Parts: sequence; C-alpha cells; structure tokens
Amino acid sequence: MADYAFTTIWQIAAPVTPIWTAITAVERWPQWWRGVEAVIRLRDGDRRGVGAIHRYTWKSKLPYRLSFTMETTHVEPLQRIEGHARGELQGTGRWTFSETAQGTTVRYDWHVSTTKAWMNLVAPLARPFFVWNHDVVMAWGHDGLIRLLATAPGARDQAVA
Amino acid sequence: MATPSATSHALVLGASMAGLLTARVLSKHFAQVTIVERDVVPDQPEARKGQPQTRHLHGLLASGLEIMTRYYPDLPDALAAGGALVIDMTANMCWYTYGGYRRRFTMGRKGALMSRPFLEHLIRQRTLARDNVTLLDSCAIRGLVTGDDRRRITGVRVEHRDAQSLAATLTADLVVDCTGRGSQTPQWLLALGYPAPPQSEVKVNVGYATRLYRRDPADPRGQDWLLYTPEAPGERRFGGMFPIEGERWIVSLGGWTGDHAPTDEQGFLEYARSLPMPEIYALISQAEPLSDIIPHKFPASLRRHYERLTRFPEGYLVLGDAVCSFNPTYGQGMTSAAMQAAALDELLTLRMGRLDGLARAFFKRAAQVIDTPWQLAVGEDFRFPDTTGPKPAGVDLLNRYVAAVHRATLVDPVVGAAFIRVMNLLAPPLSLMSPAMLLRVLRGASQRRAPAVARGVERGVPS
Ligand SMILES: Cc1cc2nc3c(=O)[nH]c(=O)nc-3n(C[C@H](O)[C@H](O)[C@H](O)COP(=O)(O)OP(=O)(O)OC[C@H]3O[C@@H](n4cnc5c(N)ncnc54)[C@H](O)[C@@H]3O)c2cc1C
Repeated sequence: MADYAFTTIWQIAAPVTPIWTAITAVERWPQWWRGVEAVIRLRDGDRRGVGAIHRYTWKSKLPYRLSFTMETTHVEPLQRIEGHARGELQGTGRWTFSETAQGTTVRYDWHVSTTKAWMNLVAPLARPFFVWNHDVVMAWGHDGLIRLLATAPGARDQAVA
Repeated sequence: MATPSATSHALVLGASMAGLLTARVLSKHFAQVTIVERDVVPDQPEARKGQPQTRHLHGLLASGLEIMTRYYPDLPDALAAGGALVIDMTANMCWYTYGGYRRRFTMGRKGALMSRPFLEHLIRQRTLARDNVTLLDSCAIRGLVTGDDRRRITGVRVEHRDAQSLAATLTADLVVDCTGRGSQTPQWLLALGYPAPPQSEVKVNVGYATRLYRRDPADPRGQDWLLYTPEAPGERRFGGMFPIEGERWIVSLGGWTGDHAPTDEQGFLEYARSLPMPEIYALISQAEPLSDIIPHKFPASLRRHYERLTRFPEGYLVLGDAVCSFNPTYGQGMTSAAMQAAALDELLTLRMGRLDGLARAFFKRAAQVIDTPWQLAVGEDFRFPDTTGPKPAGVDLLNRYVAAVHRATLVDPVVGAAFIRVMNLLAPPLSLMSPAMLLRVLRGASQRRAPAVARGVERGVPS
C-alpha cells in the first residue's frame, strides 16, 4: 500500500462563518468545487454531524475517478472537523479553521493510503502525478470557495475588506 | 459593418500554409477573399524565398491531414497520385530512440510524407480554384489602415515589388495576418497605440541540414520512413529520412543546443554515421545526391500570447506561425495552422458571420489548440539543460514519466499506439496516464530491449 500525507493551507479574506458553512455542507460541494463529481449521504449524523457517512466521487485531470466514504468522527463548530476515509482511499482527513486579522486560515490535513491494486502497483512511477492531482483538486476547491463566497447572498457584507 | 454581406471582403496576408488554409475557410463566409503575398508565387511545387523552411523535412501528422481533407476532399488521392506516401505512418515506421526501435503497429489513421512544396502546391491549386479567392502576389504588406478612431482595422497598405509607385490601400471587413514567424503585427499594434502581445520564447538552438537523394523504387527500404530522435540530455542529434514524390529521399540531420550538422559532403556523411541508428548512413552513403546540402537555423520556439491582450482592434486576426512557431522537430506547425483555421471556421459558423468581438473569441480558441503541441514540444526541449525560457509547470515531472513511456514504446505496441496518437495530436497527453497505460508503461519501461544491431539486421539493413 502506498501512503500519502498532504497538507493544504488556504488564506481566505472572509470571516470563518460562511467558510465553515460552505465546507460543512458537503452535499453541495459539487456545485462549486470542480473535481467533486458527487457527494451522497449514506447515514445522518447527530446534531453536530458526528457519525454522518458520505460517499465522495472525485475526478480531476487524470483520466480516472476515485471513490471513498468519509465518516465524520469529530466536530468542533467553527474550528475543526475530522473524518475517517474508507474505500479506494483509506485514512483520515482533518479541516481546521482559525480566524486571523486578514480573514481565515483554512487547513486541510489528509493522511491516506491507496487501496486500489493498480494505484499501488504504479506508485513508484505515478506517485508525483497523484500528488499533483491532489494539488490541482485542492486549488480548484480554493478558487471555487472564493467565487462562492463572493456570490453567496449576504457573504459580501460579511467579507472582511 | 459587422456581418459579412454579399459584398463582404476578407484579406489574408501571406500565401503559405496558414494563409491558404485560412483563405479556404474564409471563402465559405465572405463574398470575396484576397490573399496578398510578398513573393512571386509559382504555379508549381517550389520553395519560395519567404518560406525557406519548406526545403527541409516536413511530415504531415494524421490530425493535420484529416482536417485538410475536410476542406480538400481529394487531397489524399492527389498526394498519392503525385507520388507522396499517404500511409498509416505507424506501419511503415522505422523510428529509433532510447536505444531501440519503437514497435510498429497499425493505427488506422493516415498521415502524409512528401516535400512541403508539393503539399503546398496542391493546397494552393485547390484554394485558388475557389471562385471567390484571388491571389495578389509580389505585393508586400507595409502596414495596417484603420478608421479615425483606430478601433477597427479597415485594410492594409501594400507595395508592389517592382513598382513602388504602385503602392495601394486594400480595404476589407476582416484582415488575417498569416505572414509567419516574422509577422510585424506586434509593431503595427504598438504604432496604433495598442499593446503588443506578451511572448514566450524557449531557446533551443536547433539546426537542420538537408539534402535530397534519388530513391530506388525497387528497393524495399524505400517504403519506410526513418527517424532517429535523441535520448536527452545525453544525446542531442536527430536524423530523419522520408521517402517523397519524384522517387526521392529527403534527409534532414541536425541537433539541439548548437550541435548542428555540417553542410559539406564529408561532414554531413560523418554526422549521419555518428547517429546510433545505422540505416540513414547506410542508405545515403550509396545513394545519388540530387541537391546541395542546405542549412536552416531555428534559434527558439516563439509563442505570442494574443489571448492575453485586453485591447485589440476589431476586424483583425493573426493565425499560424505568426502566433506560434514550434520547434520543428515535432512536425506540428502545419497541423497547428490547420487546427486554428478549422477553429476559425467553427467560430464564424457559430456566430453566423458576426465579426464584432471575433478576435477575443478566436484567440481564446487558438490558444487552446496551441496549448497541447506547445506543451509537447517545449516539454521535450526542457530535457536539455541548455534550453532556456518559461518552463510550463509540471514539465520536469512529466518528462520523467515520458522517458518511461519512450522506453515502453520499444516493447509494447499498445503504449506505442497511445504515444503516437498523442504526438499526432489525435489524443490528449493525459490519455497516457490512464490506469491501464500507467501499468503498461511501468512494465514496458523495465523490460530489456533487443540490442540495436540485431534489430537492424532483422529489418534487412546492411550493417
Ligand atoms: C526546419 C523546419 C522543419 C519543419 N517541419 C515541419 C513538419 O515536419 N511538419 C509540420 O507540420 N511543420 C513543420 N514545420 C513548420 C512549418 O513549416 C510552419 O509551421 C508553416 O510553414 C507555417 O506556415 P505559415 O503560413 O504560418 O508561415 P510561413 O510558412 O512562414 O509563411 C509566411 C508567408 O508570409 C509571407 N510574408 C511574410 N511577410 C510578408 C509581408 N510583409 N507581406 C506579404 N507577405 C509576407 C511569406 O513570404 C510567406 O509566404 C517546420 C519548420 C521548419 C523551420
């Protein structure tokens, strides 16, 4: 199995609330996050969302799709979400949010291994592409989020100038 | 006037490959099309002063031939009838690279091998046979003409080569600059108060030396095309030998980063002998030369980013080498021009001939068309450490993978097919990254290849 550890940091000139709202509404990601083909809820979580399970399907530059489920394991409103991935990728993901003078820092840590046989086989050759693919998807997410925040009703007056 | 009417007129500057294809496309959308060319244009297959590159090795990629055939349906037949090879290039391929021969296979798509002047001659005859297309040769463009507010290009100033007193102004609803790499459009724009396009220049310092030889039609080797491309950066020479019309061979030898072939007989032969592929030297050391050895220097690939301009006059476009001149060793220039012309055709059809705002839409499409061949060419060029210029993101990463692809093409025809499709601009480069392809490349790249000499003998080439 091939292991990957990614950390992505977005500096966004907006307060944390609308960002948190956008990120936690995972079923709406396909509407603004290029590369996310589908997010389907398989199980509801509790009041905070803990225990919810979603199936994600991703497709970016490379000619294949990736599919896995995420179970939300930990939620601290406006600060942190953690989840557990199973399927073609297996591991953990963690979103952390912190407000700064300029807006909000969003950090995503993604520690996964690939379970698909072909992905493991070609890892020696293709690892840099998988990494690149992840970076592309995250960059699309960043751009999509900025666009969403700029157009969402009410977001403009909330945005930090 | 925004929409071409019964009296609409388009001017095409330059009567080389891009200009002819553009004129053919515009003849569908304009009442009258005039091509203006500085050279005297002969009615036979002949290289002209204004296009010295046409004396050198030119292959037409499958995608280019397919687009041209859409506009000139009898082109493949006319080429073949004139002695060109219109073939599934992968079946007749003898391509040595990375220490071995790429596996042959059948792709089911045809490209063409001929002299460039012959191809251009056929395209020119067919373009000028259109009722509404006229060629005005011996006339150099001296500048653009605009309306008072300089918002629209309304024509060009031309000067006749023999009678400068015959300077005149030609007016048109649309002017398309197809004057090639030396296009003056950036300067003309500046003179009119518009910004010039930003440029990407990738210095490769490639040199060609080319000679024609008699080809014995009875020799079975005369049906194959031979190519050697280097395993960069250790090797930097290339050699190409294509069978062409008139029972001739065209042979171009050369190299990257200044390692060019000499143009004297002895030096040329020695250079051929230095290539790791024995076939070219074996053939030319015994064949009868039919021409001098002609050099051509290609210092840099040059792309003008018209798509990035926010201010650009109405009624004006730029197309072909004038927008992007690629390192020629990948054989993409004519195909890229054809793709741009086809994109212009689609756009004019879509807009039902409306010309307002055409430039912005066209340059956007042209940039998409150019992106892939530019990436392919520049990507390979950056294997050489001496290559300088703006390096597209991810090139180093891709190059490591493409090196494995090259090796896999020596043993696995499926990888070979996928690679050739990409090089022929028939499939996107990322098609080489599908799961199945990654697996095959990995397997192929680690396999041992047959030694070169043994392969040469297998092909019946004297050693
Ligand atoms: C060594 C070499 C090998 C190549 N091999 C291949 C290959 O294998 N396959 C391939 O597809 N491509 C190849 N190319 C590229 C191909 O030659 C060009 O892409 C193609 O010729 C571009 O055509 P064009 O019409 O845009 O420009 P050009 O062919 O450069 O033509 C420009 C025309 O404009 C005219 N002109 C210039 N200025 C004026 C003026 N002021 N007024 C009037 N007329 C003017 C010129 O006389 C000329 O006729 C090669 C190029 C080189 C250098």
